[in-house]
Amino acid sequence: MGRIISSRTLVSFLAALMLVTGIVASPIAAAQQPVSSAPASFEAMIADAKAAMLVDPHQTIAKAQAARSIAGRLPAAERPVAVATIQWLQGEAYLRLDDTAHAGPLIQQALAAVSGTRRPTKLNGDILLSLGGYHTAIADVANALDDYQRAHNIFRDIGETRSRAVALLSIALLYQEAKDYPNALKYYDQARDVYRGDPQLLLTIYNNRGNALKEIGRYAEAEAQFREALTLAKSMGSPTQVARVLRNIARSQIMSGHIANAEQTITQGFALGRQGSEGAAATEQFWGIAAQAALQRGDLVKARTLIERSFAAGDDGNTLGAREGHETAYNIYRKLGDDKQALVHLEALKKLDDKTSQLAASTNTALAAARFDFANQELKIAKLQRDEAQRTVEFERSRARTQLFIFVGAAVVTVVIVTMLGFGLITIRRSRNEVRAANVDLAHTNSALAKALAAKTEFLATTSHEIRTPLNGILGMTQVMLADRTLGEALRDRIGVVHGAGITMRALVDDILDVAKMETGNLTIEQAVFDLRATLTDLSRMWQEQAQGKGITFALDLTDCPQWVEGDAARLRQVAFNLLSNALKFTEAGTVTLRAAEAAGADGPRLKIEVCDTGIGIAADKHELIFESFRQADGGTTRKFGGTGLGLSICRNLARAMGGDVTVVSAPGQGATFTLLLPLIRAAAPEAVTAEEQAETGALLIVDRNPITRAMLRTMLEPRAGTVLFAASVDEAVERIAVGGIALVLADEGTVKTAEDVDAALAMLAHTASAAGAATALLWAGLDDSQRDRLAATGIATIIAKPIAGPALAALLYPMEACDDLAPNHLATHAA
Amino acid sequence: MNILFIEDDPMNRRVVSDMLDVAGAVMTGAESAEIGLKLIDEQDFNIVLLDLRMPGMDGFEALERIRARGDAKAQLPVIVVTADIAPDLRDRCLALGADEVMFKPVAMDSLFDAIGRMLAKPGAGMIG
Repeated sequence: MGRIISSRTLVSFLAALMLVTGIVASPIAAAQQPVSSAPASFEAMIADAKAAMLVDPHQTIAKAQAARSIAGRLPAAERPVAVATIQWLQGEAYLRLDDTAHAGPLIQQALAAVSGTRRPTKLNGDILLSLGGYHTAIADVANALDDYQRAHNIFRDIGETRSRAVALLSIALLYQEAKDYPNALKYYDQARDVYRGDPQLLLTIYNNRGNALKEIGRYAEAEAQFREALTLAKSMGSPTQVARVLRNIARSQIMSGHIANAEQTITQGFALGRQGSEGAAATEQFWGIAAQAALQRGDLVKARTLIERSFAAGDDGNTLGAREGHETAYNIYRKLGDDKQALVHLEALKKLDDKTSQLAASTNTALAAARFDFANQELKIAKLQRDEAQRTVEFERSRARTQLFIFVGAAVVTVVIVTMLGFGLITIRRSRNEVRAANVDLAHTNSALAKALAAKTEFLATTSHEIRTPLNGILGMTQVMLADRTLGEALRDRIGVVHGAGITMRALVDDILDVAKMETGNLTIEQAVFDLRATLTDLSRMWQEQAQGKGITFALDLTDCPQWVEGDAARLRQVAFNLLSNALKFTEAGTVTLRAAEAAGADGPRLKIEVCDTGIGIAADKHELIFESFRQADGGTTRKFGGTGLGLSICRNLARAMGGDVTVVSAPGQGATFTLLLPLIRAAAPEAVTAEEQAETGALLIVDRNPITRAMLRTMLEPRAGTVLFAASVDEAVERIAVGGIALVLADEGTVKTAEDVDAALAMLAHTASAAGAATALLWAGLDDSQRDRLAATGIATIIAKPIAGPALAALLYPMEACDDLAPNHLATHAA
Repeated sequence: MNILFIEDDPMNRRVVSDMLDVAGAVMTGAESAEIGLKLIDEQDFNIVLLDLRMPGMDGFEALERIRARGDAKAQLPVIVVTADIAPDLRDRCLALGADEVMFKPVAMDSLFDAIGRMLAKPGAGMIG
């Protein structure tokens, strides 16, 4: 008990209790409800349907259905309540049959039907209890808690103490589910204090109190509670109940290490076999626990006989709980060296654990939502306090606290289960002890969780820093090697692979860093004017190649794209980069399109950037999921397509930081369209650009292969030359000059000297340049007169001695007073 | 052309040294800020590359000391090269007088580009 996997057992147990309520209290209920004035046959049919519930819920459904026709003939004012009663009964019956798909809508319809009544009735509370049961069954804990609280308040207001106790018990069970045993115990106490008139209810409370105490290691107190339950069970003359309590006592004794006592208890259990057929059936359930005791004693042979008998009796899901049974069996077979059998149970265990973790995950998601409510609850509390509505305050406060505790509880369960999946299959016992220890103090865990979150962010930041250092070595050296012109093609190819992998890794580290920044709120958005068309065109170039390599068409549509806008170019580029990377990753054939255009928005013009693909698509229910950190739509795609799953989460965060959002439209097999919408701030083109465009007199072509010199020359000459182009050799320069648009060619000795015949190369350069109307200049080191003459003979107009300071060179090539038509002549005179 | 790289990690020194070799520039390594400052006293460099996190004196202090010099070397172009990602780091370095801030892993092209731009400043050096 107490594990999430056992929720079904708890739910049905609870359902049984509720039904008892319905039957026992039906005369009172009838007296209170308007249905009382209906023809006697309707009441009788409902009572009949209720009575059938414990025996056979199918009958209840059929009988309630039969009552529908009569309900239709009731006076209009009474009809809604009658129909709601039928729907509730049928919903409850389906719930007891584990058919949540049918149960949910029926119970919700019933609730809707009675929610219009001015004063809540017991039926209202009963329906809410059923709804809570339904929400628990579908692991929607937050809503279940809400349902039970509402039911409790109704029962309290109309003085239904027994039902009120049932509601409190339901809440306690939720806490037990969340492994918040101290709170579970508190609610069990309340339930016990509110109503002591029903032995069955009390038995349940004592039994569960015992389980909660057992889970937190208070074995002596647990046994005392079980003893109370045992006395009640015996007085009720129910061997099944006696057996249930005895097994709990035995389990608690085994856990506290009192094996001899446990064995005595088990003997008592088997002795139930003498109490008729019900007793005989009950004894069947002691084999598993007896196997556990034998295992603890070290009597493996006996343990094996007992566990085999247990499974043979079909006892794999009732007495020990499926997980416990398989775990016991696994431990026995492993110790016996029967690896094959051990594996069978280990696999069964794994399956159950998978199920559990899924359940925990969904519970966790539900509770995450509940956490946001928590903040609202606190606000409400403040308001209510002002109005001095003290009683309500107590409730709101406890409800907020409840949601918080449940949330933390489920978070702990999730953490624990993740841990168990990792280590648990090998060291199940140890991890179980850890689970128990982790549950001892939830308040402590809560603060630990907060610390863990901070530690995670810190860890991300530190790790990415540490990864960047070795990456610097890898990427640095691959760049150096790739810069070596003598590198063989095969080797270049391989180093290229290393380099590409390094670049990808750097992108991942950057992604992780961004997540860390987002979590700490350190993400900054710049606001500057940039050329959107150029940014997107530049970005597309890289993906165009990738797409080609994959055999996919890449289309860039900038027809309606504004050019100069204000915003964060780097961040916009990052979002578009991630969206394109995503589109290409999940597309095997067809087209990936990048489209940018202006769109109308409610509060002004928007920039709309779309990335459409013809890939595998995404199911509608996964559309939000994929924007969460570390998530892809399907676990399997992670293996197939790789990636951290951070990209889309980052995109959304960045888009929102920029005042927009990213959304997706897609269906499986239909491709996907991701849309980035941002506020559009159009800007004027920067003056420098307009000036440059207006004064386009022809470019400067620099013939220099040294990257540092190139950067230096560009910085110095670009303000005067406008456009600066580069060539790595004389041959390349000649080709470029022939294309046209060059006003001046500046060649450097170092690069010119790589030509086989330097003079011939220079002559060719001078000839091509003069034919194209371009001036020529040459930088040469250690010039003497004879050298100068030899170089001038090649036809180069200006020979400049190195070294020369940057400003001097700029002044020499582009005299400030020079007019466009005079510039080339000027150069010649200067040089002479 | 002589470039000083103050950096405690030998691998990073080696990487940048090999990169600069591609562009025909000579790099002198200093494994601590103290040694780096001493080398600036003794030799003439065109540019200083400076790491931030180092045992002993850190890069911030080294930068402050360079800028506080009484001679022309106080104007040496300084490029900070760091693996730190603190959000305000760039602004902090620029406020202390750094000319440029680069983040590891450093792309070779960007390094050359930054050095080239430094060299283009008036008085930084000669072409040749």
